[in-house]
Amino acid sequence: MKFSISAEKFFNAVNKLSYVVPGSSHTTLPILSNIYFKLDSNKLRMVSTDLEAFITTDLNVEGTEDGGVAVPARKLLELLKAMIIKNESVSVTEKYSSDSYGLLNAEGLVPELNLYSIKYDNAKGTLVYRGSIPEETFEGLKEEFRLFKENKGTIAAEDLKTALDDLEKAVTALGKSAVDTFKKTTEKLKIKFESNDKNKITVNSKNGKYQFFGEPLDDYPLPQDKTELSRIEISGNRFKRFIQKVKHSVKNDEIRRNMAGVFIDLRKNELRFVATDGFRLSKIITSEFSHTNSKDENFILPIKTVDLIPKIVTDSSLVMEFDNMMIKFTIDNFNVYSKLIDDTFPNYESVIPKDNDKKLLVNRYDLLSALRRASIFTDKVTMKVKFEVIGGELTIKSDNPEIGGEGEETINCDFKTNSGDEISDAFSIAFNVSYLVECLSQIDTDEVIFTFSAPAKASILLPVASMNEENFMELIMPVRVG
Amino acid sequence: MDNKIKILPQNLYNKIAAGEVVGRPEAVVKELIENSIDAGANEITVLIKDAGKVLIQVIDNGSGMSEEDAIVAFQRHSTSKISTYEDLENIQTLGFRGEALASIAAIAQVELKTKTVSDDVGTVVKIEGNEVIEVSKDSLETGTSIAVKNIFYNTPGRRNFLKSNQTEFRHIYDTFIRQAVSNPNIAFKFFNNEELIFNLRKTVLSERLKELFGEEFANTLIPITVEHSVVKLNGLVSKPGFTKKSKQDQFFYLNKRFFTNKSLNFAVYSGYDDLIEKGDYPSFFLFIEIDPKKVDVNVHPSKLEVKFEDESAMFGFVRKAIKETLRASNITFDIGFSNTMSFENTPDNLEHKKPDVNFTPKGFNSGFNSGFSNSPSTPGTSSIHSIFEASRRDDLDSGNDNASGIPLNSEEGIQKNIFEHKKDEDEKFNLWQYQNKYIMCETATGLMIIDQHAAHERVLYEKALLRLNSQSAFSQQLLLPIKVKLTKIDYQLAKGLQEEIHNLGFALKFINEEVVEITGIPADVKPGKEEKILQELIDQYKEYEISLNLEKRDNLAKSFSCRSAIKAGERLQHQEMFNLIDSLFASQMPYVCPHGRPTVIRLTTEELDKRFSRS
Ligand SMILES: Nc1ncnc2c1ncn2[C@@H]1O[C@H](COP(=O)(O)OP(=O)(O)OP(=O)(O)O)[C@@H](O)[C@H]1O
Ligand SMILES: [Mg+2]
Repeated sequence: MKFSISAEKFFNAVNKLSYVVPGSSHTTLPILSNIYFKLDSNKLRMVSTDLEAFITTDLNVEGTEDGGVAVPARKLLELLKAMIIKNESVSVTEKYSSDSYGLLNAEGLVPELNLYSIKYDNAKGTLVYRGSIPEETFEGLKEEFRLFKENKGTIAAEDLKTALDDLEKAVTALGKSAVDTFKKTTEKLKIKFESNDKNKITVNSKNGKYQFFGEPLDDYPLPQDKTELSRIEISGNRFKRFIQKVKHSVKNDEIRRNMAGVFIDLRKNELRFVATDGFRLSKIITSEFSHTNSKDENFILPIKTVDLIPKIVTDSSLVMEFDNMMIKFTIDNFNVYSKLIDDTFPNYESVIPKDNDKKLLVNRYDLLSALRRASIFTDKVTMKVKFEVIGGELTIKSDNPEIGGEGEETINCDFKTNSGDEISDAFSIAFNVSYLVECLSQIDTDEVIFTFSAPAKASILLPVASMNEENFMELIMPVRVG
Repeated sequence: MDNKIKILPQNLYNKIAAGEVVGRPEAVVKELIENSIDAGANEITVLIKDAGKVLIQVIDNGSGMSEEDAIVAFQRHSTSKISTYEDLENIQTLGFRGEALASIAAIAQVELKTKTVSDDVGTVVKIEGNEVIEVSKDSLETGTSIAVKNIFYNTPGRRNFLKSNQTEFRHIYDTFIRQAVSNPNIAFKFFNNEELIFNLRKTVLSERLKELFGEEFANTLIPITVEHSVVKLNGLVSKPGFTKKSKQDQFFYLNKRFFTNKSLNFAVYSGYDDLIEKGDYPSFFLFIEIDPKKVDVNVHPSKLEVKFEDESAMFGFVRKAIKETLRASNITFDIGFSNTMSFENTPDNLEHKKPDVNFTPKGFNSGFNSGFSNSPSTPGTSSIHSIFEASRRDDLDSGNDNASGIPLNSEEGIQKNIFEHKKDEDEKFNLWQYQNKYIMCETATGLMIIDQHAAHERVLYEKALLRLNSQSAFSQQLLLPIKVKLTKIDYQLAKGLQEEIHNLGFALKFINEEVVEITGIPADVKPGKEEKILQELIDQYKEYEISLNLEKRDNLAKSFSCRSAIKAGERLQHQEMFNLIDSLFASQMPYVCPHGRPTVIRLTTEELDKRFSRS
């Protein structure tokens, strides 16, 4: 087998396929630590699997000699990283006003950009990035900004707010150009790949030549393609966002298998993603999708696959084809095959209360930052915080009898009945603070709505407005006190 | 020279518990040493030959006796220690019966040499079978020497009853130890067949124990001192975790008199409470000082038994004293490199000293935010930093290089590196999990090894007890109630414990004779355990009820903590380990689990250095 391919494309494929390759100590089938390579003229078919999920892809290459070999995945990945990343770092800049930077800096409002290899050049008024894995770096930065903003709470001063938003924009632009530049350099770099009939592999590039041994393809397991599958098409980004929004509620244990994944519930004109661990529930609904079958269908996507797909998803659309046993995802030229959880998801609709008659409206940033502070004084095991609402004030109380600390913080809120009447009676309810924070973090709007009925009954969290034709809600079970 | 010894009137000696004084050579040793102590000696030499069968000699530098006293001393009921009935109620000395020397003289050949300070020459008295054979004068040092030869020479029946030398020696040895323990201010020499076995300097109790039992053992003890208006208790007791499988080395003294009392021993055990495993016993050296009027030592001729005016008050006092001392002290378990530990970490008294921050991260807990790994520096973190000062890794800067080129092991590696860089403020504390079972934690002065299950059990146990007693349970409500089918017996048991189970944090609905619906679980049950926790709790409860015979609440708390604690084999996140250690050191008794097994073992750098022969 002989072919050549751009380093960027090759690395990207090997990288994605490696996600399911089991660690050598975790598999009883040693062949699985390899990636299946089969060349048929200009089409290279690659497959990897841990037997629970398969990833396959067809790459266009310049083939010169057909053949096949199973290539040690880790070794190849390390090698490509070393060849590409080590040698091809990029340096990009982006303008950002030094006045704004100074302003933010003085207020301690600059996120830790240096951790992401970004420096600010005061003299030139530019942000500078120098590094070699821009994609991951800037993904991380997105998260960094999100958390940073949540931690700081509402920034009242308009100029600071704008300066921070602008900084985020500038960093995003910087990231985009870093990724583009990096792509260009690695696209240009050609990798020549060869294997002989003794399964000896040679990888060649301008940065060096490496040889190692692969395995024969013989008993490499391959996924079975089925016909008669139902089909859903949805934007890749939307899918990724949906997963992100509900994933934290997935049950993380072996006992209740029916909750150990995201429930994808297809109704006539609605696609719902639901997850619950019995303590909280997250549900997001969209009508922006297409499907072949008009009947209601559903399946539980195991958490492993839930974690995997977003790593493979791109901006383009994503196709899910499934029956009641398995699902096949198509994302660009990648296919992912996964088993489904063969169990019944709890009847989530019946447990979502419809009679929550009290409505609390509160600034999400203020609440989050208050909760983070309050959590300093929560009991580390029960993680309990107490809400006390009276009039227009929400008091968040935490205490830790063990160390004798306690915290109390009051923020403004709006507390009304469903019909809009002020509630003058005091209401209190307690929650596990980490559940609260996880749920609040997934709400996109600046303000959040809680609905309650009673202190020991489910509480619902909602964004104040729905975005992108999506309907998001979360439910949290409180902690009964006394 | 004044004579001090008087013969007790009959009405008084009739009140004294009478009986056999000398049953075996050991009794002679005991009586003679006691006499020397009563005579105010501060140097005592004991010599024995053939396990005391041939010779027992005790030499002291005490008050000595006048010639007349030296003769009278061997008569029955002759004593200088009491003279009235009031004296008998207020005994300050070890002897009081005026029986010992007479009993000894009756069964052996005795030679007494004695001189008082005021006499210029001393007296020698020889007695055989109660007959004074010879009285003479000699130049002697101040003090008394009594040699007892050929014990039971005139009662061959009893002589034949003596056990092997080994056994008789063992008894003498034990007696000697008892006296040596209670009188560290007296120098003792002990010769067996002319071999010097002990040569004990005048010192304090803790040092005396080292000389008698070895330094390693002595280091497993913690001192105790508790004072009450009428009674004082001091001494040393085993650190939990250094208890033994036998009831060895248990010493109780009342006003310096050794005594045995099962009920008080039990008071000590129960003071250890959950700090010892069943079947383990602590060693102790405990001295009770109490007004002699409040006790009766005149119970048995052997004087080994005492009677307290208020036995149950005494029980309560001892139990409480032990309990409080153990809880106030910092009992970490050192890895058993011998002779390296000192008492420095243990409190000298009951003043509630916090454990040494240098080693046990008590301050760990000073309010570090545990909920969110990505929160910025929060107040309180600084103190944790200082505890871990020595263990910080400066990886922030070096880690930065990774982003600019060096390939990492795996894709996750890269991701992780970037995401978690500063997320984990506490990542800098060197904390790692060993075999999914132990948490290794670097501290300023060494390494702490924590048993994750035992540690978590301790934390949950105390919380559970607190809740059971305060009736303020937190119950995480469940979105999807869990129906559990119990056997009829378990159902009844659960129903009987309904209130306690509620206080523990469960919300239960009893449906019919077999089915219970769980709508809420204790907030500290690890997610994933809610399905089984009730059944496990009941099973464990039943088991403990039989095996440990625990009181209801204690049993529930123990069962709950045992079943819902992290198990060995569970992988823990860094944050979880951090929280666990944090909570552990915030608990009342961090160093042992509710069953008395250690939770923490430490290894100091000093010890390691020693092992590697570094200086
Ligand atoms: N080593 C000694 N030095 C000085 N006086 C002694 C010594 N041994 C005995 N005596 C004197 O002899 C007396 C009698 O001793 P003995 O041991 O027979 O009786 P006791 O000590 O008074 O009472 P008990 O029978 O309870 O021991 C003592 O009261 C004491 O005055
Ligand atoms: Mg005596």
